[in-house]
Amino acid sequence: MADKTDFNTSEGVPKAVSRRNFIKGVITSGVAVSSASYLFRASTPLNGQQSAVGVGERLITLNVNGQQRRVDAMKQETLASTLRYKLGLTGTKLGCDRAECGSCTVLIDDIPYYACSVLTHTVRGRKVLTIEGLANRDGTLHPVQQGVIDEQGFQCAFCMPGFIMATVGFLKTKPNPTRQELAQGISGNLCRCQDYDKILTSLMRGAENLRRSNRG
Amino acid sequence: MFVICDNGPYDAVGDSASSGRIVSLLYQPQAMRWRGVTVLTNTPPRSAQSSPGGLQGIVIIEPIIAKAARKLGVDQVAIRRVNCPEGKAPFGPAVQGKRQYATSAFLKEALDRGAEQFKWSERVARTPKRIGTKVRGVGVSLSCYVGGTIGFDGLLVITPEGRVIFQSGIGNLGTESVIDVHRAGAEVLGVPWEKCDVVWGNTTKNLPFTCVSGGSQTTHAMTRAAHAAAMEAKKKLQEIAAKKLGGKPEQYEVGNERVFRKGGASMTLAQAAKYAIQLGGIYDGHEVPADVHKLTKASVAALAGQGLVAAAKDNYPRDGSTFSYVASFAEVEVDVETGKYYIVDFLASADVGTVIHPRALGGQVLGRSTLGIGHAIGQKWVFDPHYGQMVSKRFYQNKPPTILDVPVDMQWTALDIPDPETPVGARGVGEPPVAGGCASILNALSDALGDEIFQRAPVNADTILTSLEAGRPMQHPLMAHI
Amino acid sequence: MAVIRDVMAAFELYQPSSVADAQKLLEQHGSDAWVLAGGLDSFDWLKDRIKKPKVVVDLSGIEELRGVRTTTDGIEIGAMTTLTEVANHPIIKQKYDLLAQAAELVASPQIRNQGTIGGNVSQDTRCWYYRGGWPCYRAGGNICYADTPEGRNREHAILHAERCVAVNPSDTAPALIALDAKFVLRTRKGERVVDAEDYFIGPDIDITRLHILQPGDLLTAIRIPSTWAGAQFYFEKIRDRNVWDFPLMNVASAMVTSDDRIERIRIAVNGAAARPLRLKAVEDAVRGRPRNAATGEMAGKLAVQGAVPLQFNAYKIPLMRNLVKRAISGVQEATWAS
Repeated sequence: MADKTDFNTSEGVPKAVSRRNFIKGVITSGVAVSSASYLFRASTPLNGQQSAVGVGERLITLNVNGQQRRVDAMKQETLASTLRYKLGLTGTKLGCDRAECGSCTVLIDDIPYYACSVLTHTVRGRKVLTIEGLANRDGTLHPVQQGVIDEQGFQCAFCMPGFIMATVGFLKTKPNPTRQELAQGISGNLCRCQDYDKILTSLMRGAENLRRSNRG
Repeated sequence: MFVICDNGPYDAVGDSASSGRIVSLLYQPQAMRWRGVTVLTNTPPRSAQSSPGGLQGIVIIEPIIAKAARKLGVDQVAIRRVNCPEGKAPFGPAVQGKRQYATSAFLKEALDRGAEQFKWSERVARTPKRIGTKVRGVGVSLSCYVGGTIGFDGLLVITPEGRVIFQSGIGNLGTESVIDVHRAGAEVLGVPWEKCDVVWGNTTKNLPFTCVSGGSQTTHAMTRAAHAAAMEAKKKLQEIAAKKLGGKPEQYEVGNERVFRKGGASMTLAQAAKYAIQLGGIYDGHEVPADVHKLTKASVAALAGQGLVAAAKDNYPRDGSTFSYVASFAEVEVDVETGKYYIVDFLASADVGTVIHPRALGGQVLGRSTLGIGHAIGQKWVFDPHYGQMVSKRFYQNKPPTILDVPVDMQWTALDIPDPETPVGARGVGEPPVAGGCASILNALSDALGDEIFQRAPVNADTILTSLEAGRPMQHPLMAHI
Repeated sequence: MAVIRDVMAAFELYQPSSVADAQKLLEQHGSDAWVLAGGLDSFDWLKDRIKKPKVVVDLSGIEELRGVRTTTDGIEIGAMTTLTEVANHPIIKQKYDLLAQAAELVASPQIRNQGTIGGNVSQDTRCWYYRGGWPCYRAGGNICYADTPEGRNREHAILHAERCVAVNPSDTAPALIALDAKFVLRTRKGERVVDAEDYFIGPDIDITRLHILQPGDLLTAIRIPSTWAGAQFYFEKIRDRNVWDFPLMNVASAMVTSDDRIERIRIAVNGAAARPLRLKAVEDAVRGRPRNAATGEMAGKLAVQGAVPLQFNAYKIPLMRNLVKRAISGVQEATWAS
């Protein structure tokens, strides 16, 4: 297959460019080779540059919480695993690991996803936002986080990061939801303390905080 | 009441005995026979969930009470009001002619408050019950479970800076009792909450002997312990003041961050703490009351010399066993063509003694109610009986309730009547609401669809539809998990 | 056995940027390859170690598979268009709302954000024996565990079962059948367009798959003709939980009436058989009749003719009967003063 000799191995390249010829990564000949070959390349666009057949990249750059993070990710690795166990972002929780409980919810390009069911390699060039990326650098909490504090939204709070990320994502599409609408928006998240009523109250408060902070 | 406990491959758990005790308390039967046996089955092992025994016992009895009320033409709230426990209500079997009894019960008041807030009478009287294919039904359920233990230790330090540090051994399940119970201590000492710190979360931080976070005991047990430690600190403050300022200890009062004699001399808590360190001995933790637990003694030894150190065991008397109670109300809307139903409204009215932290209490009452609701509306685990293998491993198969399975505005209320057998008046909450969550839904369903359709949980669209179609129960009560 | 929560077994990941590249990869790797759309069905199989492909071909980088385009006669939806996009698309909502309603009821918000229309119609059955890795007919064995005297088969088939009693779980499939959608496939022999109802197959044709895709084939787009644009639609899904649950059964109908007589109608149900069922006999029987309760009743009874319940799924017969009835004659709104 002729195309296979032409790899795009430069992450951080604008989507339109990087997708021009886009058969990415195959690990066949070993990680060491692929990582080494990567390290000698700059992160500038390298379209058309030839590399060895069948050599894929595991060392990739992810945009997480506004930072470029280098990470060695296996092809079968999920984003939740990478975030927690490679990047130390343990605010993203792994509950069911089957796209059911929502505790691993993160935003990818502002849309909520179950990070347990997204392959890390598929988010190259996209913006990942986790619970750690919500607060300001000065420590000021995100208005939704503040709403959770204000209303003491959660009990054990294992599900909290997921609920907050789902809410932040939902509010981008509907900033002024009714209680019913917000419940629909966060319905992909489970709480086993089942404190849904108080959670919803706190997230409604968060939505209100957010609207207020956007005005001011 | 004949309880058969299927506990998988292992031996008995306490659920069957507990179901008998709870039912005998909650409905105050004049006579009651109870038998419990355990069978071993080739199914996965299991252990207790919230309100073990109480949940099953109440959920068995409640639909029977509901049916009896309908047969008698008595209102559902009224029949429960007649039968529910009040005051030092007896429960369990008589041992040597004497029965155990509860510390207190204000369940009649909880029923009344709940019925009023839920607009029970209006809902019952509302017509028509059926519009098109939709039928509405209302249900009420009593609920209770254990609400507290006694005998644990409290420990606090008043520092030379005048702060009060509560050493809290409570494991935090997110209900915040780890912090909240110490407000009882702050109140005794008259110290504003802002001047208090709570040290918790790690046993290396010199924490006192504390109950485990389970059995709905924490709020009761540890408010008592916190109160005891604060009373001990108060006594020491009075003694120190008398030593330094003259007079007798009992002439001194504690309040406004001071120890003072009415219209006379006083000192701040900070000064008292400094004197405590000078005095040493029992005042700064170099000596410790003999009756506290050895774990507490070790913690006191580690804290010694840091200020006024007060450790005390909860030796307050208690006449009776502590239970908390809930009256739960639900309205459902059933579509008789599909069997699908929605919970329209839900209210839990709690008799849990003095309210320590309203928001956290509301979370507990509704959260645990929802646990019970889950048992009513679909939560299950399914194993193939031939192979003894689980098949419902996933959430979409075993169906824990989601945020859309409960009303978007659930309601709760609490009486805030202190329990007379504990100094702070607070009882535990946690398990008491569970059964009411489940049984109020089941009772609302039978109000909508009739008593003879089913006597089981969970009740799903299939349960309703097959039974309506046949005009009789089509899913065996004991074949709950299919 | 508990649910496994560690890293999936290793596979090679290809992320082609064109359908042609994807096809080449699939051709090259044959039965070793697994096609990944949204991944929400796929990862179950891979995480549970029940399917162990050597190669995974991820279609998410293929722009030509995404988005909704208007055509000379209706619309074409790229197979990789997400369910959220389908549910919110203005033209779909305006003209083909049946599909928007169905897509909106799939699983949960996050799943709709990631799951695709192509994946939703191509997903495998949710029979808990089969998905649990039990070696049943569908998995290449020689027994159906759900259809044994003690088998747990509450969610299984009442129609067209043959050895296997699993059902198709898709919500969008019956809506697409009712809209007379055409599925565009890319096979080794080139492009092939099939009617929506012909995309799905039962165990009588192939017991190991729910659709006609062979290894190497791709579903690339779904075309909806304007025939049913703006018709009267009915979609209802009955499920245990109000979010993140598969249908016990669902129904979709598109209808054109004049003087309250049914002029044209298409109706389909899912959750009753291994494939979504277009109810042609019902369509024929109600065409020309007044749209009323009597026609609905008649249609409902006709729809369930030949249905055979298993031990725990007899409810599906009245459920299907009533859903078909409603899909034709509607259902009364009920509002109580609170």
